[in-house]
Amino acid sequence: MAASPGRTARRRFWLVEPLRPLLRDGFAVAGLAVLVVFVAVAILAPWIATHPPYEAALTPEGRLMRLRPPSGEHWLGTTTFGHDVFSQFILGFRIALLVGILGALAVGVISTLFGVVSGYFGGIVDDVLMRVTDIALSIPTLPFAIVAVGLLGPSVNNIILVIAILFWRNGARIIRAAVLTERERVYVRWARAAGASHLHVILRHILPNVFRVVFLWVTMSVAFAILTEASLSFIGLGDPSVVSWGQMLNTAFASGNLRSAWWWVVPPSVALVMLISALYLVGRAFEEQANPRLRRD
Amino acid sequence: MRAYILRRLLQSLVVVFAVTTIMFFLFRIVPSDPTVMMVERGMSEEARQALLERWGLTGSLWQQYLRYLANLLAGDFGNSFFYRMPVWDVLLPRIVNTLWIAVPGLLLGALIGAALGMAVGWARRGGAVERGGILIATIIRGTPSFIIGIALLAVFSSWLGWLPGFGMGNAGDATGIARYLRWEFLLHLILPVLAVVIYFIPENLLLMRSGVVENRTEDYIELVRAKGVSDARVAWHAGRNSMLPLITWLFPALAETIAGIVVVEIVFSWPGIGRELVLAVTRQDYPLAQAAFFLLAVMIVLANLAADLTYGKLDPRVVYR
Amino acid sequence: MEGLTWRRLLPAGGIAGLVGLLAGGAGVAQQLGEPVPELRVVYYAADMGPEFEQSARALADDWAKLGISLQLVPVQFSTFVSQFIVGGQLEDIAVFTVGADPDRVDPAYWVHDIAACGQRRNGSKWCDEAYSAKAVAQRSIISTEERLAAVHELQAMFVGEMPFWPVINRTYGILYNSAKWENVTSPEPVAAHEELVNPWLAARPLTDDRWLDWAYFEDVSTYNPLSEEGAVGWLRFVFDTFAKNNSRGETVPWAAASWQWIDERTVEVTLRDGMTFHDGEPVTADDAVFTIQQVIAWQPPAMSARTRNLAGAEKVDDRTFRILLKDPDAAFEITVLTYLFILPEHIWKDAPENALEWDIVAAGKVIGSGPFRFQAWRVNEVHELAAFPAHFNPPAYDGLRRLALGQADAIRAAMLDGTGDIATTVLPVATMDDLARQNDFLEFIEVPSHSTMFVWLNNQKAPFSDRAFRMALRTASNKQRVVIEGWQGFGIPASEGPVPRVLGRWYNAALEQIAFDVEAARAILREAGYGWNASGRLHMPPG
Repeated sequence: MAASPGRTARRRFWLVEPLRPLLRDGFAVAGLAVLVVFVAVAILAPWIATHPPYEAALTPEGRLMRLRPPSGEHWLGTTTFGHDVFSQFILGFRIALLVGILGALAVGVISTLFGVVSGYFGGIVDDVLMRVTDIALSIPTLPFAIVAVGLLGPSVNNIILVIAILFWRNGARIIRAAVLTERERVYVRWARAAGASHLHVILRHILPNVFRVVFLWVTMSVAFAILTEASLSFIGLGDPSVVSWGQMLNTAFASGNLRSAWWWVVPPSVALVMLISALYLVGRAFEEQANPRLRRD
Repeated sequence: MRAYILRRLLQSLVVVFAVTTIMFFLFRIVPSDPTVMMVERGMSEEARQALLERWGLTGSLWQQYLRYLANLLAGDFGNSFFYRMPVWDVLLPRIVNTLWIAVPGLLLGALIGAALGMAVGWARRGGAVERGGILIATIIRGTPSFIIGIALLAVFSSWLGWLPGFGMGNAGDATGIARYLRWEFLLHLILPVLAVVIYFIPENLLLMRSGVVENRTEDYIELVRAKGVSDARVAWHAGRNSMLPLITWLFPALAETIAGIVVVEIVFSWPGIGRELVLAVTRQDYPLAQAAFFLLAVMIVLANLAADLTYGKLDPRVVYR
Repeated sequence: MEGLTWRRLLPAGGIAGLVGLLAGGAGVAQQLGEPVPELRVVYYAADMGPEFEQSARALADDWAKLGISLQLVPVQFSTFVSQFIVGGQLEDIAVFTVGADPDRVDPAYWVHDIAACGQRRNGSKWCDEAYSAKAVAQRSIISTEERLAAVHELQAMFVGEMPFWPVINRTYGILYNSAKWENVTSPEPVAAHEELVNPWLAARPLTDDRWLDWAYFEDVSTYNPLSEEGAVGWLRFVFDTFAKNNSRGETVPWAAASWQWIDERTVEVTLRDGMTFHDGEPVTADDAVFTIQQVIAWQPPAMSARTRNLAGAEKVDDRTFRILLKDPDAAFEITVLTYLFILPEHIWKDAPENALEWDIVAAGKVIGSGPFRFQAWRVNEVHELAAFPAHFNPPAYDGLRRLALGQADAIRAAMLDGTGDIATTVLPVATMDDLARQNDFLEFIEVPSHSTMFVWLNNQKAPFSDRAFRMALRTASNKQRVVIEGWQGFGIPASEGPVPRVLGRWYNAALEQIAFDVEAARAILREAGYGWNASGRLHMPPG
């Protein structure tokens, strides 16, 4: 489909426009900076990592180099199994962002679909969808994740599935509320009166205007997804074929070294806090912009 | 009003029913067979049947489901596969233990959070207090609860050695309420409660702050201020009105936090319902896991109900339909 | 997401293909059958300690060099036991350990219980009729020399078929507070949680704190001795057995003062004089006869391996009774006399119909004759057993507490702050060693054992039904690597065949040891008609 320059510009506008207020918020800029660094590390992880994550470091006599503090050879020391903490830590960036982004995309799609259909069409559709959402909202988050991953088996796929199931529900409500407002706007009514199809109205008038809300929810969902993966992995329900921060902490915990091997525990903890906080800072800026009474200017 | 309450009650029942159903089938569709656990190889067919019957595992899935619902209505959760005793006997003390860290943790968290939120909200916009408060609150909010737990353990238990870092302490012969009225128990309580408090403060703080900021521009605040009332009093006025969303939010948050306390319980080896749920799932102890999950879900539904009703009571603008 | 791990970044097939090419062409031109599907490696999840995952990982890393892809699947301990070890649900490969139970110093468990056709614990589902017949027969050979020969032959047959294999023998550890306790003795080669005398009854308090606090991880599922499987050792603190295996591997009297064989199927047991149950009632031959008859009548599945051969019991006089067997059993003393317990008849005659499910804690009927009597159990928190001073071998202290702490971190903290007096497992042995070095008041004991980490294969399913494939996998198993990378040095590489070397003469020392050699493993596969595709993936023989 050939798009006229005007349309492309317009499309770009509603993609970029929600990002603009972020640049006026110092915290959001800081958060974005952290995110950029984290994404860069994740992309470059295999080249940054100095060792394979599960390679046991041995002394020349064949003894395991256990729990070594940071050194030139092992920048962040070794685990009780002689694994290089730095390499595990660096590769953990990938899993965190992968789970976060894939999980949030799934959440974004489902909640937008639910929210838009429910809010736009209203009536019985809205009633049914909102009752489904009510039920979903009554599912205790972490217990459900534990039960589902425990039963389905600990794999990244299942963890993402569970995240998608869990976090669409709040998003659907928020987006629905935004759609309800948009629907009543004059130009939407005009468009309908002028004979535009529902699809056209949704795509051209509703979606671009609720995009900011969707974006907010997706941003928050990345944080929730990362948090959920980390919690599950810490409990021992992580995917053993990948390296994640939650799993690093779980191994330190399960081997009784959690309270002593700081070089093993601090890096994944700090990274988790930084990443999730950065996402929250970005999300907060959205929220402030969305609520005119909180806006400073 | 009465019609509204009735309708909400009915809705809640439907929700509970739906969640129960989802759980029942989730536990049954998983690849591993729940009967394997209970039925030994080389067992006689009669013994096997008897055992299956005892655990309610005979008949079609549909029949099992109906029987499960019937038992549930009668308040019977069945017997735990692992402990071989009624699920209630296992769960009841667990729930009490969880409430011991959840309730004080949430109340303190809400109070401290609200107070701090009021201060931050009333501080000069763009000032150090406001910006610092928001930044710190957001960072703490971004800290997974198990990392808060690990940090508390590392500092207060391992490094300083001030507080015990696991379990509830040995109760000796004490039973009933006496178990909880021991100095030792209170010492063991501090760190887990602190973890919940810290976990809970930032959301309260940020919510309260938004409320205050929204309210401070309202006309009546200007009016109060114009009357020459002290700043603290004005802040109180703004704060009181910002309490409304906070209170309604508190109930669901309470339920959600009880559910989320799982990880805190694991870090501190606290024998609560969440830790029991994790164990039950890993042991494939379906009756126990289902019951624990059911109770958590009911808690959330009730909390939502309470929130809706309270909101109506507090805010005269809400009209019941 | 799979593309992101290091293992996948350098795909196993890639390495293997490269190795294959260097080794002279990986049969790309030859005809290939179906590719070998991805295989699931199940192992004990971290609730049993992180060593299992690391062991499985180390093994899988070498196996992958054969061009197979493997999926690691952690499974929690109790689920693992019920599904794979006794449940017969193993899909592909299992990596796990069997415990150092006291009765496993006899070879019956190793050559029969886990390897003969249809046995409850034969989770690898291997069934070789000739082997099985011999494995059943060896138990009936009373002459030690003849049985020895039969057991050795079984091991040779076993190694020839290689249905599964041991990887390492585990070294357990005991960490105890030496400022508060002395004479904490090693139960070698049995694991402490399965033993009674060492270190438990031997320990002596040095302070006024006369309760021994055991910082343990797991709860007990029931006190009904007919049903408990996971905490048999703990229940034997309360319920006396007739005999005990001591740390020299001898079977010595316990509740029985003596026993003698009347014929090959009859043993006459004389009870110790003056024993009483915890409620004060005397222990008589009637109780023993009642217990054995009821066990035969109820057939508890948890006990089936030990009680299948029991035909009956009859009283001779108040202290003497006879146990009748269906078949002669060379391992009877060492495995059954040390395992059977005495229930008080005056309590169990009123047991409900489904006695196996009787909740005797709720009924207030936890009455045995052992050195400890039941005092309290708070589910998933603590068990308390008080000393029973009237016992013939009472502890030198007031009671024993088992703290169900759930995890290694809490056990460590408990040992450091003095809440725990002794820790035996889940806290990795290497960590115990570390703690003892760092703290003057903690002492560490190394307990070499016959506990064995096995690799089990589902022998009923291709490709494991093919001996060549099993041999190749065996040859590509690096035991030394598992000892170091999985067990941090606390273990020894297992010898060939099912019987652990520490069982002494029962172990067939003549067996040839298979060296770890990936190239040799690939050669075995190649000869058997397996091949590799261009990317190094292993394919089944054509047709």
